[in-house]
Amino acid sequence: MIKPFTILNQLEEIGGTMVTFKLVYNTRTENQIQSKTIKTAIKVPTGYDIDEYIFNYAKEHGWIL
Amino acid sequence: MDFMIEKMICDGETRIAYEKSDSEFSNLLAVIENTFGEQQTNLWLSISNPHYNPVFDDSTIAVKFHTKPAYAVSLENEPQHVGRKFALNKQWVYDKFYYITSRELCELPYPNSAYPLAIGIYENIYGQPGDSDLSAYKCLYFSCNDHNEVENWCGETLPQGEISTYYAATFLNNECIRVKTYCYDDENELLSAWEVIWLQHAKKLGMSTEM
Repeated sequence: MIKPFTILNQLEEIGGTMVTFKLVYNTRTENQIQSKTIKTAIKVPTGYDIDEYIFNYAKEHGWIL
Repeated sequence: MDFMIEKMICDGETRIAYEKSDSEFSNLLAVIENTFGEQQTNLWLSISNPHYNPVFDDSTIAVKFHTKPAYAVSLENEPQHVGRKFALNKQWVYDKFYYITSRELCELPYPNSAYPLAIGIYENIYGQPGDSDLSAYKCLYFSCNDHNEVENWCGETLPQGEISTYYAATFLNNECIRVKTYCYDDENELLSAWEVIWLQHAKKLGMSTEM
């Protein structure tokens, strides 16, 4: 199983886990498709599967096709 | 107008890949979306007609990408090309990674005078349905100037293209379970010269380009 993102850090907080992750995504500029890397952090609320939450978050943002 | 980019024949069944400008592309996309929901096709080069694939033991539609999905670029072992397989009844989705190979690198068996060009493996990507480990399956794509030799090697009569013919053998645990023949009848077909594609990648990877 290949994950289209890499978790870099997890920090337990009240109400959830602050997760830092990076992923490469495609972007189109003037008919050219390029790859860009994004590194960001989101708080995954307690009770949610971290991988699933990040996957859905990335998909909603159009980073995963 | 017909925008067929590839014709693959295996076990008497023909798989044709249609590029985006072909009306058949839309029809086949509708078949995929009917089962798997809406698809982002920005990176897709072609869609094939449904055909039996023994790896999935299912009717399968094959998609070729013109640009690798972003996740593949960040992999430690980055493939040179990526495709996607939609197993229609099982409702599985697997990506296929293609890695350039050569006589020096290839450990799979092939006819004596053949040139191994690429190896394909199946990968399940997080978020895509399909829970079987398909790592025991590998496809070896190769060229061979002696068509008879390939036929003797696999013990089958194989078709030939008018312009060029290439081959792929599917292995399960290193045992050949089928041979696919890729027939090109028009030199303008995008994929009609596999050696050219191989050379481009081999140069990028710093591999020996002697064939």
